[in-house]
Amino acid sequence: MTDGPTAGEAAGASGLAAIGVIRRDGRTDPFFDGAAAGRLVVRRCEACGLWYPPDTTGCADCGTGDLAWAEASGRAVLLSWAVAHSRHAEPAPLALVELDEGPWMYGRLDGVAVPGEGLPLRAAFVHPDEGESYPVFRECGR
Amino acid sequence: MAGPMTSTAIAGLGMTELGKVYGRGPRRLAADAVRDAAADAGLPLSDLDGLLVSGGMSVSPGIELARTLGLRDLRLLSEMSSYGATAIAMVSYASATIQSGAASAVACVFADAPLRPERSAGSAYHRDAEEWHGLGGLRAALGFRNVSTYYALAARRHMEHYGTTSEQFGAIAVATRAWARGNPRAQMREPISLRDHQESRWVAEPLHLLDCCLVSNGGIAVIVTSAERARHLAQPPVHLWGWGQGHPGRPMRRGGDFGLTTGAALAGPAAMKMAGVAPGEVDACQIYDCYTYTVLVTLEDYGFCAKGEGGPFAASGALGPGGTLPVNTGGGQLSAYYMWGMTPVSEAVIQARGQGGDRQAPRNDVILVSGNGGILDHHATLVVSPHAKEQR
Repeated sequence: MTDGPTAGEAAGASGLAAIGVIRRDGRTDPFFDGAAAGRLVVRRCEACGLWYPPDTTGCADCGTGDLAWAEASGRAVLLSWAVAHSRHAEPAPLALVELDEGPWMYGRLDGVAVPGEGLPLRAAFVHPDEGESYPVFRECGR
Repeated sequence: MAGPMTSTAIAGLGMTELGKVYGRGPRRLAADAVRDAAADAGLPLSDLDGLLVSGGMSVSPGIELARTLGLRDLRLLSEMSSYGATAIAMVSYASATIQSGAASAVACVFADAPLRPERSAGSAYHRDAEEWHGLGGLRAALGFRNVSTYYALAARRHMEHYGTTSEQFGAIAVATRAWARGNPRAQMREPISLRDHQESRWVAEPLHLLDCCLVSNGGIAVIVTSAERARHLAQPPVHLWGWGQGHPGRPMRRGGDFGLTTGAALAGPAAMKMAGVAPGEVDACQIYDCYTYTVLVTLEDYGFCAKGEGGPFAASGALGPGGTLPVNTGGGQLSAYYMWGMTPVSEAVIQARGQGGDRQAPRNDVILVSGNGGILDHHATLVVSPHAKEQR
């Protein structure tokens, strides 16, 4: 279900099996195409070189509304984390991460035992039977 | 005609029943709050020539509220939204409009009815679905299903950077509940201990249930007019000394200060400069307390303690009854009622009038009020006093 030898287990253990089905909305297809191929595709301003999270619609630096899609390395560090609790679902380990290229992304941690500021992470990809693939963040080197 | 130096005041305060109030939608609640505020001021409804409207999670009362109230020949009518900063923004715009001479008596109202009898309070602010669409949907699917998750990330970042602890957040919850005991309108008046806070269930770690505000139905309105006119009305005027907004638009990328500094660092100094006061002259604060953490970071940004010292400051007991800086004297959003920015504004009016009863702060000459919206994205600050500004 996920890339990597233990990711399937981790996905089950961390409740990812029950998050629901992800559908694309026609506005961010390159992100989901990338995820299906195991690549983290985000936005980049070709004019000034700044990288942005995939849901960004304009460059905050030079003001252009024309951002390109670009493949990031998938390397990141952990900035902050939280665990969402709900009556209806397993606790969800959430994160704000800083991609190597500079932009911040909200995401989900997978199998991180001891979170801490600056923890090196990399994107891994979940490929559910139904719906779109999507990234999660796992400890680097695992 | 009013000149640019006209000083302004809140002359009326109207509040419906707050909390589990069913059977009235937002427009009816808003109408009831405006009628109550006008009656409180001793002003006929027909004397209003301005109306600013705002709503919360449910459908907004809308500018149709003017027709519901039978208001005619208004010179100012608009619906506003800067989320939790809206209440202070409404009061500021009402004041500036009166100062310009374009209106003379403006009602500012908030009403919301997110609670339903058959649902839990948390579900009012929670998303759930079997299928999700696009990147926003993906984020919700992964677990970002309510605002608490984002505030949890902000709080955790503050904890990591400055050593702030959950017990220090808890001190704010305990102090706020202690104030709520003196407020007959408070939804939660049973005293709580630090242990109760620590043992309350997780909402989004590191935030416990007792770090989070209530959910309430109801409406609150204030009437803003010139200080001169307010002096001849039914209630003691609450003079508007200064206001400011702060929308930092911080970039979410390397070097960003998310969770560490908020728009309060912009809005607070601006409002205090207009008012001509420094943090040391403030007698009491009504701080937007959607979460305990929000109070802590706001007090730092306003300069009541050094950046990073909010935790020890809260744990010192300074904020509760008998403390050096009374904060959220009515029980705030954590323990009294969640009317977004109108929670702190309403308590500031009550305190400035000296009508706080068992919870009246020992000094009320200068009261600072905050509003916070989005995920710490939008901030507004207001400084009020029972004294006319020019009399200082």
